Amino acid sequence: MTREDQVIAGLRAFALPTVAVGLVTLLGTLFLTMIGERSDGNDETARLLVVVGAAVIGVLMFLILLPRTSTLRQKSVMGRASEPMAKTAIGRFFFWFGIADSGVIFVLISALIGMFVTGIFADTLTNILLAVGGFFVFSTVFVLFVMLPFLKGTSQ
Amino acid sequence: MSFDFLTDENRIFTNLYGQKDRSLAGVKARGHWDGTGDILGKGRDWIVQEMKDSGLRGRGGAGFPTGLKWSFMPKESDGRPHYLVVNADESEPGTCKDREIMRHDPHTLIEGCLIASFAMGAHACYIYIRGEYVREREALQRAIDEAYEDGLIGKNACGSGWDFDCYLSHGAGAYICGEETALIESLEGKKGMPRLKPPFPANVGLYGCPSTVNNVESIAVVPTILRRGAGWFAGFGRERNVGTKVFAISGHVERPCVVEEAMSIPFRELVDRHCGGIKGGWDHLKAVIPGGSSVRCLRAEQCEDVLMDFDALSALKSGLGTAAVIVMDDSTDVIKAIWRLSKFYKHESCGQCTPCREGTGWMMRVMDRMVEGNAAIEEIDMLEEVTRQVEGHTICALGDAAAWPIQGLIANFRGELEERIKAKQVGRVSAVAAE
Repeated sequence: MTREDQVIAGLRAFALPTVAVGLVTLLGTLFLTMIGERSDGNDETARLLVVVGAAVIGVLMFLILLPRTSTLRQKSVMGRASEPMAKTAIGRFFFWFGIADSGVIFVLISALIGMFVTGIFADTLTNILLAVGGFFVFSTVFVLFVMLPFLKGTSQ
Repeated sequence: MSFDFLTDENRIFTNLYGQKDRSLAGVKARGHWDGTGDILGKGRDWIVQEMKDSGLRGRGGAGFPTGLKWSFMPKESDGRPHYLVVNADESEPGTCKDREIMRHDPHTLIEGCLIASFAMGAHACYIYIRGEYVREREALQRAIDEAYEDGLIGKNACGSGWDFDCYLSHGAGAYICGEETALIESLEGKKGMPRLKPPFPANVGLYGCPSTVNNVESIAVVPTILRRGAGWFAGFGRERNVGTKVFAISGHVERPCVVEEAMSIPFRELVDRHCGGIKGGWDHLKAVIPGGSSVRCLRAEQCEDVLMDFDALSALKSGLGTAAVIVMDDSTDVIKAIWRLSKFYKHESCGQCTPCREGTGWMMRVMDRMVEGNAAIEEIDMLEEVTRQVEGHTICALGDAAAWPIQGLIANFRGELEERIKAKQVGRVSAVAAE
């Protein structure tokens, strides 16, 4: 199998979990926002709930996926590895963000940042929905439709 | 130590070397397809119980009890068909036992497929054969056609009232398709990528239906076990490691061969009796990979008394695997040999799991430098740590298979690794490394 085949397989393997993370985060955020608004009608409460809730959901999903990605586990070894990529800080940075890797870390972290940014700055439910959905759609589209076509491998 | 070698009358495979008549008439004359309808007449429960009593452990490498595996299939159909899938994608380096069965004794497999399918309520069986096995596919297809023509399979197979169809599917040469769920994916026409488990194939397998995947040898021995009785089969070997086993011995022996022997045969007896001994004598033995390329290698002194079975080899942190014994004498650069395996696994990784996709590449590249001696002593521990990070962190067992040979190398030949590195540092390249 070529390197490209392997990378594509890695991306595809994480497409479904990525969609799941996005959907769960989106629905969770919506749910928390509704609870917050109904509880006292206070935007601050809603915002706080969104931030905390999104973080919890994001971390939980990340932990669920961790056994499969294991990038975190490998990083400790990677730091001392004599691989050319591991020798440079920029190499480790790219590895960490999954660009040389499966892409999932990149997607998850961007989604997490999205949650926080949304929770802090969004004023209305519509904005939250748009922002969260936007991050989710962007991540998925980026992985599935932007990266994959450029990684044409041979099939077996 | 005296060992009761398997006698010819107790061999299940009567034409392993292709010296006898391969036609259906010849096969029947040797006792195959004898009373198959009567065996089916005894019922599914009897067959499964008999298989459990025989103690047969899967011959594909993992050694999971075959009868128990069959019992995981639903007793009654929920409307979905059941399938038997035979894993004939024999791609493990050093392993060629199933090849001989399919090439020279294919009817044992076809008959086994019928009985196993019946026992699991499957009307269809798919045999997934390795891409490179062209002659074997032809032999197997010929046998299937003969069985159809003779009414042994097809409608009312063997007059049992059971309809049974057998299909042969040709792989495309990917090692990963030997993993059962990847094999199922490939059979379905998709790229061979292992699936996450659960759900297990017994619940959701081929085309989403209950399926069992068995190795060729596991299925091919079934008819004889049922004809001669579970007790007969269980009489060979030792507890938990019973029956006969096809060994494939290659490497530095006088006569490499594939041979059926009783389980738990001492390694030395196996090599001396069937292979004419180690090239140049026993003292020249350096290392042995006892179960195909994906188990840890052993040092010569460990092989002195070791029994060739699941438990004895597990005790040495190795494994029987596919019983493909790779013998290396003292002319072998064992570091280079393991590096070659690393290269193989790197190439065959499907890429789904990061630890495997990235880890196999790391391991190979570090091994690359170990062969040349261009590494630091500390990197030996680092390499082992990488193998531990890969091991057990992947969907399928390919990550483990890539990690274990290196772990075996470090555990057993650390001195050689260190010496190679030191030699390079002082400008002295060992003769073997220079080749």
